[in-house]
Amino acid sequence: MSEELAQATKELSLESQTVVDSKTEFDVKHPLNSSWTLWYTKSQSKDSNESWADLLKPVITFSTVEEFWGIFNSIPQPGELPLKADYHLFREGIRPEWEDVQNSEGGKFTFSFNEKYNVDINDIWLKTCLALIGEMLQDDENEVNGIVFSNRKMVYRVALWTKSTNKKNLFSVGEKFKEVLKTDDLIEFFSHKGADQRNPKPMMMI
Amino acid sequence: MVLKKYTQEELVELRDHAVVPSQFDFEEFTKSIEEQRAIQEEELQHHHHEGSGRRRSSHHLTRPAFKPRKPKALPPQPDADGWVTLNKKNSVSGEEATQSRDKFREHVKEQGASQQYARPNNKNIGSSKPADARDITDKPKTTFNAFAALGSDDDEDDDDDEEEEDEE
Repeated sequence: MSEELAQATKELSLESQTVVDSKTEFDVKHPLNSSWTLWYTKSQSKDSNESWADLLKPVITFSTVEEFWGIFNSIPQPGELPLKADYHLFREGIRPEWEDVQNSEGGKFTFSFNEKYNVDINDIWLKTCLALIGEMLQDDENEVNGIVFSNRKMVYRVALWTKSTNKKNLFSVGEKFKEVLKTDDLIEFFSHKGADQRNPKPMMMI
Repeated sequence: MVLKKYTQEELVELRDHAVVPSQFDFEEFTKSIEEQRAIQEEELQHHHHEGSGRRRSSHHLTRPAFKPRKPKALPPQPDADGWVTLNKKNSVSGEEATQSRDKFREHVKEQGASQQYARPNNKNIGSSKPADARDITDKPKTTFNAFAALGSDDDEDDDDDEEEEDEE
């Protein structure tokens, strides 16, 4: 499964010359620390029997700043997504699922914007994407795996997925995430292992 | 491990240099999302038209018909001399009362001729549980007869006396 995924995401990758490849050419691209894959979860229609796997699809993988902007400018904004649809932006090779080995030991910070029509969600999502691909959400530890945007009936939800549940690292990540979301409210962290319980309790709140 | 970082400002500066990857059909992707939205909106409209059994919400376009309350009749006002004429209908008497009574009697008579008395259906009155046989069978009545009791005591005493005499 992971080999198929690696192959699929490799096919999505954009091959291009970057400023690292050519020190003399300045009209080249700016490489990102990681390659990133944009995923999309289609909202399930009423009468369909589509499974989660059928609904979740990788859209495209990119590795430079310029490609990010090209993609971001060409896709619908998060506020334009249908209900029950999600955008996921994850490091290449990591599926936005709890079961993925890179996620299974980690968790997620989540924040819900309850006043949907009073929030500039497109701007918030853009700033979160920029903080993610610019690696500004973490210090030198490779802790952040990706981010998720969910459009739901009553709320917009933004989540940040981490590799571990190490509180020492998470505190700093959570603080930065909260800053990007521009909220003074508490954001909650849930470990993926405890998420299958009936009423999961947050591991920490920042 | 040192991460290659970009600040938000550095990234925004490069927005004008955006490169749209050619190997992905963004138009098709956008179109499919628009279609999903259109389907959802259609479903929502359909749901609204069908009605879900809920009370009509205030955001509907049609307003409820306004029914003004009937004004309450004013209580009788006193006239210049301070008298109040009551509108209350008094009980009928005289000719009118006799007519009304006769009418009622005739009505009752007619009713009586065709009246059917309701018969209770025993099937529905009784319990569905089978009766206890012990309750049905006649039990011998054990009543205390004081004279009979006295008589029997005497007999016993007599017998005892006789026995004593025999022994002697």
